Amino acid sequence: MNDAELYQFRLYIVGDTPSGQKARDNFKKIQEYLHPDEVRLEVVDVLEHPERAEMDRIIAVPTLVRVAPSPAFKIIGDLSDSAHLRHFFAIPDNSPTTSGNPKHADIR
Amino acid sequence: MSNEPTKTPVEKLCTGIEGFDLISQGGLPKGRTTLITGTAGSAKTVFAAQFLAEGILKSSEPGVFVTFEEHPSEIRQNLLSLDWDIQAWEEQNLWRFVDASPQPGHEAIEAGEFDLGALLARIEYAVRTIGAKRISIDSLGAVFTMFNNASVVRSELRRLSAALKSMGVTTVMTAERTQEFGEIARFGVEEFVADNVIILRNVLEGEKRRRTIEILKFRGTTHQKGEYPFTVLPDLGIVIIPLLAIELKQRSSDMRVVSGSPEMDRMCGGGFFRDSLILVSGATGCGKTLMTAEFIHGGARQGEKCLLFAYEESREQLLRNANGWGIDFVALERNNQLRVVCAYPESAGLEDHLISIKREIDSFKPDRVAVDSVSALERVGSNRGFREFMISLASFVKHREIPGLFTATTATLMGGPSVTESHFSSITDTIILLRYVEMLGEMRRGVTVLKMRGSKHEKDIREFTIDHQGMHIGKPFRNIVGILTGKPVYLNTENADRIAGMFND
Repeated sequence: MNDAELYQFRLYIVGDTPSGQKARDNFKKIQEYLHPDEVRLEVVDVLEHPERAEMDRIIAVPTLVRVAPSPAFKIIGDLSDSAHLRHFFAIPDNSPTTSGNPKHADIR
Repeated sequence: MSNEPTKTPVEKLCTGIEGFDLISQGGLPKGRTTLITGTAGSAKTVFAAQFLAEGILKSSEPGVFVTFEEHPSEIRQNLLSLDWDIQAWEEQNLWRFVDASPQPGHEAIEAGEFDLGALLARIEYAVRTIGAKRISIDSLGAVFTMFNNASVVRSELRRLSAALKSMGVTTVMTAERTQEFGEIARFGVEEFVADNVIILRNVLEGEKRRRTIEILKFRGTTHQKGEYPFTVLPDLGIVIIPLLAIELKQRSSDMRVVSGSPEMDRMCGGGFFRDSLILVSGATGCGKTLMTAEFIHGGARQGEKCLLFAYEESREQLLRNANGWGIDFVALERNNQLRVVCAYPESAGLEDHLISIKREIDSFKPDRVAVDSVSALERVGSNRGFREFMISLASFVKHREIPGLFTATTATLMGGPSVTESHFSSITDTIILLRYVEMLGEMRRGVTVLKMRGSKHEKDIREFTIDHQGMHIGKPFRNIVGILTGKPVYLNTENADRIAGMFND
């Protein structure tokens, strides 16, 4: 599988906070739905890499940036608003998050 | 915040913004946050940027600019017009942007709880890296429009405010207002971010825009109250005209200077005082420009440097007229004894005229100044703006301890007051009236010294004539009354003698 087909995400957090942990946990659910092998996640701590937050103009945390496929976009918050996210990633309400092929999902 | 016991008074940080440190009595409260609010186009961003720029230029204090609205590249470009090379400062680690401007085409959605920890971390990082002393944040309203959850933004801005305080930096934050007179700022930001509030206004007054700045509150310290006019100049940025905050500590001098006419010197009891303001008032064509020219010529003959601002005539006209009176302005200019500045009144706002006058005076350093006429500038601004202009001009010239001669044109041919006079008479030391006198089917000219602070002066109304050698003041009008009111009445000699006799001992 080449990189172009991968889902690449970047999660910005500040230090070791509960909200950062919550965002990671919630992201796992999305990842499972999108197919774990096709999803790459990079976690960036703004305290360690402020210059990277500068590049992506991050002001709120947690912020999840979809780096690929383009266009890039940001999801602000700890990803706990599952109804919103299900809609956003086109995850059916009754879908068990571990199954299904998301290829049809239009992630924009 | 406010209930900490504070034994030391609030320290202030000189901003370096011209006039601001005067009206704020020393600058912005140091180590604190000041909110700058104003409507669209009220120069908030310029203020925020200038706060950093002056810090760099005047005291080499690095600054951080946090932008929520414009992209840094736009700000860099806009500020080039003020001669500030932000990019060079960035390379020298004197200026750092924290770019929080929206990315076009980048959608963002909110899903769950968040805070603005990343912003805080970035600001702290920027401050730490360059050792910033000053921070500008532009603007708070834009932060609110980025997020749906206003209450989170509010509490996060409060946290930011506290964090800035602990960093020991002095901060300027801008916020929008929707009306010139009404709530202080949108989203009620003034209630939670700042102990100090400054309002910038850009009010339409009689078809003229008038910018003012008002310090609404400084917690725990003093400042001048009320609105002060300001202008934004291409190479200086914001320049505030401190008006009444100008200290009235002019020394007064007994030294006399020549008026340019020996007869006038006699009428004034020995010439004008060196640090006095002289108002020459009269109808159009009755000799005001001539008196100005004589004033200049007289000074130049004594070896003084003279500066003349002309708002009524072009340079060529003025030089030709002076030649007609036997005064060679061109030669004086060549000797660096004179500088003539001609400007069209409508070419700039009153504030800009005032500042250009000040700059000319500062650079030429004249021994005497003349403005012909101040009433030509009357039509440029609103009534209030003009009054402030006059007061400011007068106090500036007085501070230089040089004589200033200003002319004013009366509205009617035969006399009567002018607006200029009413604004100006209380701050002038000497008032000279030039009047037309209709006598036996002939227009003659009269001159009188109406007021001369601190000196005896002649009370007569004298006739004067003009020829190729200038002005000649002659004998008093003896058999006419009512010249000043513009309704001259002739008395026969017998009556005139009788009236004169009434006041004899």
